[in-house]
Amino acid sequence: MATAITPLANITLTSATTTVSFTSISGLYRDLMLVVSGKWNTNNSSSVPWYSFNSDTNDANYYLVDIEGTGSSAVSYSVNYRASFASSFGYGNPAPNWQLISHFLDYSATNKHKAILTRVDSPADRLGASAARWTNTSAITSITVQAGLSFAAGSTFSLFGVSA
Amino acid sequence: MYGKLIAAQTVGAGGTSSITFSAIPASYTDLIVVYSGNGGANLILNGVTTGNLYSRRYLQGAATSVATSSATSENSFNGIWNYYGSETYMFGTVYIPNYAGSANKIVSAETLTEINGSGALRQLFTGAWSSTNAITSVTISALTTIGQYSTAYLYGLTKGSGGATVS
Repeated sequence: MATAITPLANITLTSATTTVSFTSISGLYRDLMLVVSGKWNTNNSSSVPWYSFNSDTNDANYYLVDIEGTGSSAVSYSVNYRASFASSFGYGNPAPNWQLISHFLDYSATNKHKAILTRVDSPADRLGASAARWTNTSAITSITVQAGLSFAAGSTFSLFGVSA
Repeated sequence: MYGKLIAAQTVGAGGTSSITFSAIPASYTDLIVVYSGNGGANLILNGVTTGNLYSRRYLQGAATSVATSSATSENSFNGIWNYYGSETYMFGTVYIPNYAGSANKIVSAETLTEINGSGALRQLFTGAWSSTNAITSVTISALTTIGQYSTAYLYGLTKGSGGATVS
């Protein structure tokens, strides 16, 4: 059976914002995929998006390990807080474009913790991949994406459902 | 898990110097290129090989070593599929979001290079193309020759609308 990708939601920011939320996510799919094409609203600053699921803002429930390359150094980190990636990125003047692609595996399962695989591509300064875990067996019904800096107008956030 | 198949190509006898997907419709929002073949290659957008419009950054793991590098002002996405001799086999995907939009373009690639049992290389690659033009063609350009039976597929993915809130 061919895998199907179904567009669920999409938003292009018309003004700078720090928070984008997807709520009432259907449980019909096996996985979710989020594609963010963005840049920060501030020049010469960097930040990193972080996720909250089902309004859970307790950092203790989130774990992440990643690998990163800057072009001059290759590193790996682990963190114990809400994050899509360990290091900030997107530094430059003017603020450069970057993108982030996350896969939320078995998001609607109720018998396992949730796994999130993320690619970060910021050609201006950094790239890498992370694997994260949300230590909750509830189905993910909402995803909130936030950052310490504002996402600039024109940034896009697209959510897809992936069927087995 | 790639979306709608737009086009597919298989290399015939004698190999080829390039694989090109042209006249790409603007009716999708993201593109995905899947390449599986014998032979290293660069990636070129809209046939543009002048103006130093490409920059790249990559992270590689090669079992006993790890490497990262970057470059700016190049004339292709150089090294997206590296070449290590005639027995080099490549597999990988390239994701290009908002390919028809008016912003500069970013590519996200994950590739594997296998050197006929003598080694393997896993690479994450990102690149920026400093052009606001919509992408209408994608070329996989051989570093030497792309061998017979190599395949390339182009997929289109369409984003939804609405369903998100901001604050």
